[in-house]
Amino acid sequence: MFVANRPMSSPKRTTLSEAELVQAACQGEETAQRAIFERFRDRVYSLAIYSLGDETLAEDILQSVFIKVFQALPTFRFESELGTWIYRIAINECHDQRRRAKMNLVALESIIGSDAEIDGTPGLDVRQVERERGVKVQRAILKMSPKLRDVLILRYVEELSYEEISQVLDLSMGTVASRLNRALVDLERRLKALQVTP
Amino acid sequence: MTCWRFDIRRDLFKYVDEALTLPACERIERHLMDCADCRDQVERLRNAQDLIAELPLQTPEDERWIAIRRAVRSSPSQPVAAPIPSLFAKPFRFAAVGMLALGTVGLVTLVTFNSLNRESFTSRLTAFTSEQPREFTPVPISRVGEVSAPHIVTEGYVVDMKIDEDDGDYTFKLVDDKNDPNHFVVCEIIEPITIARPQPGSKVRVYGVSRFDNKPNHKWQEVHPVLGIETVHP
Repeated sequence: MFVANRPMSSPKRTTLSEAELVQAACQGEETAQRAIFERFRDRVYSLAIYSLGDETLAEDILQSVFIKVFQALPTFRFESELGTWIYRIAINECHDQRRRAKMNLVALESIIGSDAEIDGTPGLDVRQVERERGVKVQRAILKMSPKLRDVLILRYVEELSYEEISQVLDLSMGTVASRLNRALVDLERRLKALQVTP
Repeated sequence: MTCWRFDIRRDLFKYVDEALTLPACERIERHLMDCADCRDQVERLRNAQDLIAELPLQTPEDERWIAIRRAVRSSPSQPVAAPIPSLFAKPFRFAAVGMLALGTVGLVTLVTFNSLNRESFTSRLTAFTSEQPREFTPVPISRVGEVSAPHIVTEGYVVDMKIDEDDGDYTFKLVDDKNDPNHFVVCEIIEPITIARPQPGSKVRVYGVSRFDNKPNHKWQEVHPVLGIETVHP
């Protein structure tokens, strides 16, 4: 019985090891492919949506990432975690998408509204306040440079370790720590300007 | 922030992110007892950390599984990398059939690709098709834009190699004639497909997905992604 114990793996118990799943998926077994997809679907989608700020684009990224994953799975040599490999594909897809669409805040505002529209007003219930706070945090992240944004999402949304982030982004762990430092300071400055507090 | 202890300030993030050793943490905490500026900065970093950590993992409304399955079923596995053992077995199992088909395929390719460097191309092409379970439509560079089949194989000389600084993707142009750079296709090797980069100036055969790049400053035919490369002349 395989029990995932790393942040990138599913907390669910499964009867197949990752290697067995990969091998079965390479042989075209849909249940194995589906299991890999379900294990990483929300993680890839969340990475895309927080990176791009657009649900439809994030679904497009999800689709293209897993097509590439299953097409290239026979080349996967277990030199890294499967999750690390999938994250690398996802990060590259997000980069490509940003290049293609030249993503900017116009697209974001069309989706989550302008600052004025999402400002909290007295009398809102707690869940709505939290939701609006989340939107503001997301907005602040989207205004950051992609390099800082990526590292922040991987660390605090996807909950990867420094080592895993260094593998996904092909950076040294020192660079990861340095970027995280700059990213968090940058985020704090932006949130302060928006008067967002926990 | 007016604290002049840069050595401490530099490590405040790691302190907040619990990435310091115990002695380093104790050093920071001793400083925090006396420094309101750094305490304030730690508080701010923790607030930012708490806020971003509140963002939940999200589930897509439309997970696109059917589209993914359909695309994977209709596209080739990688012809480049060594496949898993069970896939290795198939070409050898059908080797005898492949040998019988060789003559027929060779005849077809000779007729079809009269504008290419026929002798080497057709012989190698037939060898490839007899060993691979997937079909790549052979097409000369000048006619890549005319075929509707997504998976093609084309042949030419490698020029203008570049590495994309953003994503590390590797691109080069494939030309019929090194002295005529106007007729080309752009070939792109992308992550995570691992393919050995061809030598500049070498003659290669490229297997991959044909598409047209319609960006305003591009407007050219591409093989993207490249799924396999065979060297014809180093």
